[in-house]
Formats: sequence, structure tokens, C-alpha cells
Amino acid sequence: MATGIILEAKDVVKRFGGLEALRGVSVEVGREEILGLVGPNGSGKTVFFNVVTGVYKPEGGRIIFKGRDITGLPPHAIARMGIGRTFQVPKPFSAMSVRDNVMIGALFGKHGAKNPYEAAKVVDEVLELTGLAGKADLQAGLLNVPEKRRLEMARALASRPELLLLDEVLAGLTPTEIDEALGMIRSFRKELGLAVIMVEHVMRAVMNISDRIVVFNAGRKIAEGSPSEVANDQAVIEAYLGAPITGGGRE
Amino acid sequence: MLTLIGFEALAIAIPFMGSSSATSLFMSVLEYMVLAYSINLLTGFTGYVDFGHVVFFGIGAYATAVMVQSFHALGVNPYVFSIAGGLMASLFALILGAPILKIRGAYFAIATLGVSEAVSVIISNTPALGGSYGMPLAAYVKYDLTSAYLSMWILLLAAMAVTLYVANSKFGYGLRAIREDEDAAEVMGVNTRLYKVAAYVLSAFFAGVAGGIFGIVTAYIDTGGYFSVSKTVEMLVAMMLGGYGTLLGPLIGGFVLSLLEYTTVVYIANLHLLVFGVILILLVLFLPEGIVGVLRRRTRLVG
Repeated sequence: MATGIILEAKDVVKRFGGLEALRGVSVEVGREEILGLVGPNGSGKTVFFNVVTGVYKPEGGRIIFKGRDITGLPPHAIARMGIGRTFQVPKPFSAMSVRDNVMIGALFGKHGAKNPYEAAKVVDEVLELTGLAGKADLQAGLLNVPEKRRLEMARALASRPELLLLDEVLAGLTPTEIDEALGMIRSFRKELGLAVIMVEHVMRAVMNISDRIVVFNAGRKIAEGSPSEVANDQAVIEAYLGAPITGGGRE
Repeated sequence: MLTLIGFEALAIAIPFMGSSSATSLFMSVLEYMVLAYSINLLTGFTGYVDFGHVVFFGIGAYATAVMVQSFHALGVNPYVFSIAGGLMASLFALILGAPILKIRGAYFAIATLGVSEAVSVIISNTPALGGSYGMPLAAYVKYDLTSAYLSMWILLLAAMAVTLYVANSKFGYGLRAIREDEDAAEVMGVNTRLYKVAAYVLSAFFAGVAGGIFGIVTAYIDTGGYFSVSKTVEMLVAMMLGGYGTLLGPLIGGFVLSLLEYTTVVYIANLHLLVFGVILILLVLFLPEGIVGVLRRRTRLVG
């Protein structure tokens, strides 16, 4: 289905002192693909996002985006090449209006507009697409949690990325809100043609929306495949539920 | 807005009406306004609280003084040299900016305070710059309050024009994003390091030119007067009082605060800093957005 690879992470290693957060993971994402990235807490999913976006420099491995090696580039340069992201804990520019938050994305993203007037059209489009148009003049800090998550997505979208990294955008949402958000993410791909990597704990949602799923555990990739393949993978089940008791003994 | 224009027209006319005490009062009003605009370009827009901003005022004054000493024979109006003072302040900000703007929050404030004190001590131990005696300029410049006054006006209008431009430009959006959340700004594509240094260099220029103008008009500069911490506090209070990161905040804050200083100094000499301290605390607690913030909430009109 994918027309080529947009992102290729090869053998990425990231250490924090003695802790190896990523122990040589390789992940590929196709154009217009929705890739689910799952794994227990502390398995390295958010660290992986931080390495891809340049927040952390990896100790080993390479990140190739659209055929270009972006390993070690500063985050702002990577953002301008077309990688947008949201934060696990929303980081809105609280004192600024919702519109101005989205404006930052439009001004500094891939097709960075030269001035706010030029960016206005993109901002309006994105506000409409994410259902925030009615709240455009509100201070971002006053939004509720689901709205803040939508704002995170809106800001990232306004930067016109080709690859969008979503870090637990469904956390804390009600089932109805989750369905709305999933619909929105599908429409991003359909209308904007972007590839998405979703880090997510809401399994029902990930299984539902992802074309392919990658599973991390303790800094390694332990499984990869279609949602149903991954769900029946022995290693995945062990990572989440623990190893089955073998040998029948009760020592 | 009309009253503002009226006030400005009146204020510009003051030196031509022959009252030199009114002129020198308005010099101090203008000084407050310009310095508030200067610190606003950095602290107001990026949130980096510069507790050593006076260093640019001082460097501007000393650089201008050296220029005046060396080139007074050319016969040009000495106030022209204050531009060199501004450029020297900007150059210092450019060199200092990259390392010091890596430090955030209270640590940045302390570091800038340290830098300004260090520069002050270095200058007062440099015989070529007059050491602890300072530099008298009376031999090279004649007393010309009108030129000083007009120079300050030009500088104020330039600072306002630059602030207006910054507030509505991509640059200004980037700076405000840094103020709100620097990490998020960087990940969204703002070249935070470049933007911070650019704001630092720009804000230093205005403080530097102001220092140069004041050095010439007082015809005598020393480190005690031109690197005093209390001047930084005055700039900060003026900016906070008016409303940080706004176009008209420094104008209003500078005006109110300079008149307040004028009255308090008359009645309770040397205690005015105590009054300023109390105002600063009250502002932070109850009026963090300053006068402009309150007006904006009331009318949604003030820029």
C-alpha cells in the first residue's frame, strides 16, 4: 500500500548513563502509513520519538527521513523538514490564544509562512479540521484536556508535516472522544496524505486504526506486523502479561 | 490615541519653551520609556529576566565617551556617536548571548547580574577608561539639552517602531513561543538559540544608545552611575507596570514610574527604591499583565 519509505530508523541506541533506553531498534514507516507503536511503560516509545525529532542525540544508529540522514540535527531543523509531533503531556503556549498556538505551527513548519497574514489561511483550515474554530480566541491554557490534545494535533498539522508523531493523544479521553479522534487522524491521512506513528496504550484504538504495529519492550523491538499478527504473538503476550508457567511445577 | 499624539506633540515642544527643569524631567521620562522598551524586547517577549540589562547602558555610555574623546575634533554633533555606543552594546550582546542564553530561569537572572557587575569592576580598574574616577567629557562637548532631548525622542520612536514590527512578525511569534515553552517551540521549528540571541542584540542596542546620550548630556560618566543594579530594577518595574511583551506597555509604565520616582525622590529621597520594590511585588502578585493587560481586558483595544 505504501508508496515507498518515508522514515527509516536503523539500529538506534540511546543511553542515559547506565540505562539503555533503546538497544538498537530499527523501524520503518511507509508514506501514508499509520504505524502503531506499543509497549509496556518504560519500553522506549517516547524516547524513540525524542530521538527522531532531534530532542535526544542517539549514541548509535541512524535516522533517515525521505532519504536524508537527519541524525543529530537540531529539533527545529528536523521540524522544518516535515516531521510534526505532539507531546505526551500537552505543552500548549498557555498564555497565547488557540489561534496563535496554531499560528506558530504554520509559521515555523515545513512550508513556514513569512508572516502571520500569509499563514492565516492554513491556520483557519486546521482549526476547522480539528474542530477548534469555535475556540480560536480562547487562551490555550483554559482549554480542557481533550481540547488541549486536539490543539497539540492542530499545531503539529499546521506545520504541514509529512510525518506526524502522536504521543498518547487518546489518553484520558472517553470512548466517544476516542472515536472522534480516530476519525480525525484517518482524515489527516486521507486529506493531507501524511504518515503517522502513534504511541498509544488504548489497545482497542491502536488495533482499529493501525496498518501495522511495532511492539517495543525494554528498549528492543520484539514484534512487528499486522494488528492481528501482533495480538497473537507469543513474545508480545509475555511482555504484557508475563511468561506462562512452564514445567507444571509449583516450586 | 489622539490624547497620546497630543501629549507627544506637547512633550516634543517642551525644550523650545525655555524651561530647562521641565526638559530635564522629561529627559528622565524618556529614559525610562526607552529602557523599558529595550528590556521589553528581551524579557517581555522571551521571558528571560535580564537582571544585568544595565550593562548595555553602561557599555553604550563608555563606548560613546571614548568616541567623543577621540573624534570631537571632527566637529559633528556628539550625539551622533551614541549610535556607536548602541552598536558596541549589541556586539557585546552578540558575544555574550550564545553562552548566557543557554541558562534558564533564575540562573539566567543571576548570571546576567554577575556579568554586569564584572564589567563594571573591569572598567573601574582600567586606567584608559578613567578607572574609578570615571570619564569627564565636559572638555569635548558643550551643554546642549535640546539635542539630547531630540535624540531621545528619535530613539524612543525607533524603539516603538521596532517593537511594533516585532510584535506582529514571525520573529515576535517565535519569541513569544519561547516565553511560553521553549522546548515545545524548538520542536515546532523555532530556531530558539538564534531567536534569543537576536532579541538580546536588538534590545542591547537601544539601552546602549540611551547610555551614550546620557553620558554626553551629563558630560561625566562613572561605573557607579552607569552600571547600577537599581537602574536594571527600574527598567524591569517600568516594563512590568506597563505590561510586558506589549507595544504600549513600556510607554505607559515608563511614564508612570518616572513621575512616581520624581515625586518620591522629592519627598522621601533615596527611599524611592523601596517604593519600587513594593510596586514590583504587588505587580507580580496582583497585576502580572500590567496596566495594558487591565486595559485590554476592559476594552480589547489597547495594542
